[in-house]
Amino acid sequence: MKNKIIQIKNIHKYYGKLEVLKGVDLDIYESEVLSIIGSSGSGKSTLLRCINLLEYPTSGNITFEDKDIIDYKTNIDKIRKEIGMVFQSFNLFENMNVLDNCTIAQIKVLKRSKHEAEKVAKNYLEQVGLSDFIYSDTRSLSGGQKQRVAIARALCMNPKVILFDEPTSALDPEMVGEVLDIIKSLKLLGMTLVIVTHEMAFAKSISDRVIFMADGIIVEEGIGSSLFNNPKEQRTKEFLKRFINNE
Amino acid sequence: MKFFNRNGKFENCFFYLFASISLIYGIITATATSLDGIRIFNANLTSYLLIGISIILIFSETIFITIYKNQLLKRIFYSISIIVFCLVVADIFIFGIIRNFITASNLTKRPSSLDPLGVRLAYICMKNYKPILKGVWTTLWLSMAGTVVGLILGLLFITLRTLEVTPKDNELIAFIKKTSSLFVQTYVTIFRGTPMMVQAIIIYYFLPGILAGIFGIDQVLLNQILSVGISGFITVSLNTTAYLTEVLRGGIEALNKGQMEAARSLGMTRAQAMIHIILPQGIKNCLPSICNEFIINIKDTSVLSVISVMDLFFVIDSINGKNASNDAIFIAAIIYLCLTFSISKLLGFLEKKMNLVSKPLPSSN
Repeated sequence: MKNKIIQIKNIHKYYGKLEVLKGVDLDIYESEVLSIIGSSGSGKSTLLRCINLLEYPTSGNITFEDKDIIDYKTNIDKIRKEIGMVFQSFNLFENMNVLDNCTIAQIKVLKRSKHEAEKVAKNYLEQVGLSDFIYSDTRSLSGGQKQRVAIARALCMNPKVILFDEPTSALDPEMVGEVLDIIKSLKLLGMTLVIVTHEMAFAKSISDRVIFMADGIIVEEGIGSSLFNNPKEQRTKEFLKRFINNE
Repeated sequence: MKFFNRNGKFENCFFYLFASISLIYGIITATATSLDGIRIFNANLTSYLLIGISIILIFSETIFITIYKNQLLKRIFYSISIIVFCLVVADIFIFGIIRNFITASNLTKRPSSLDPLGVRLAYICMKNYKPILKGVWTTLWLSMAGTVVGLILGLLFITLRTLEVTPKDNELIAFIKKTSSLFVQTYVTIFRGTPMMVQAIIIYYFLPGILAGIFGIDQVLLNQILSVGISGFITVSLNTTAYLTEVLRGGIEALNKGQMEAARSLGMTRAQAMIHIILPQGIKNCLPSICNEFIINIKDTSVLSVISVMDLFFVIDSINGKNASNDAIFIAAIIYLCLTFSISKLLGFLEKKMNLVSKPLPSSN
């Protein structure tokens, strides 16, 4: 039985009077690729952002490697360096070039030397295929290139888990493929990945587990592509119907 | 007759403007009855030459070039018209100023209000140039130092203002954070809501007493230390701090929330994110406003004259009082205009240099 690296118990999240997460329980295992699908407003991004506490749950419990991260006493910055995140809108640091984007956190948080940090950064930038762009200004990159830099930046911290918040939703269709290929290569490295995505074919092909969310709860969970092939719940069937026609 | 050529430039339009103004000036100087002083066009050969060249230019351009459409000749004529026009402008303004100064230096007694304004101003400049230059220097260093100190304090205040109470903080730290934020907000409201003139008077006359009361320092000593110059400097600094705090707040809040989220998601503390990611970008956003504040300060230091700070306005005001006339105010206007114009051009040039992209992109896939 694989280790549970993240345990989410009974998370509720309110924005004022609006309840966005209505009691979510989820266990995430080491080295698994977990996809979260669902329509907009179902709470999937909120759930993902609760994992590294970018959103603070109103009630409930989250443990990372058996450490309670909701507890005030836990140093959340130490937890966050083990959890990488790739955002829908890339969020690259615009006052630095590509290489510095990848090294700044290594130097300041992991306390690596500049030389070591650059070595690690150049290695990961090569893996995502951007060796030629090491000294480029982030503003001059295409969307797909920016997202690849974002992935390299997350990898440079050598995290245990990487969270992807709709990584390809802001990209032109031609660039979606290059980013998805990178994510596939991360699976081969044995990394734990949690991906919120609308790319159904991708989710189907890469995931060890898929969960479908709607209205703030997990409606259905399936191993591999079983959720896509044999959806059990009515809501899941309705949601997937829309995508079968688009494939 | 086309006024714009194919490139959309106003060559034709300016050509006729320059040539006709030169012609008119040539006629004026050729027919004037009394011309004295140093001039290029002095009712002699040069004036008639000016008339002749202008007429030839206008004639040739109109008849010759429009028919034959020769671009090279057109460029030559345009260049000649520019040169001639520059000579006319130099004769009016530059030599005009020189003439006024020469006349003023030949005067034995003060010019009366019957003498031309230019001569009166030149006389005032020559008799008072030392105080005027000192006044300019005081204005410049007060506004420059005030803006720099205002920026440094503004950065301090903006960090105090944006401190966030995290669930981890105990009650004491939460109280300190909340109080600092409120203090900055109150400070900004007061210093933006009162005129700098009022602030200057309060600081000069009452700050020594307040400090003596709170810290128990001898008030006589404080009165000596907090002279008009120091009080003026303190006023400009505190005033600029308030405005720049708000400017910086706008610049930081305009940033994408995702920048801070990305920095925190990598494990950076809020302080590290502010220092390395947020503040550099925020300040860069605000640079035009900060430069603008410097230029505004150049003009606003004139209000410090109410506490007898010897800035440019105070010097000019004293000269006006001494002469029982208001002529010297034009000198103030011209000098302030030169200062603000040249510094705003200089700062604009520096801004452009800093906005260049760092490295050209190699051929992308």
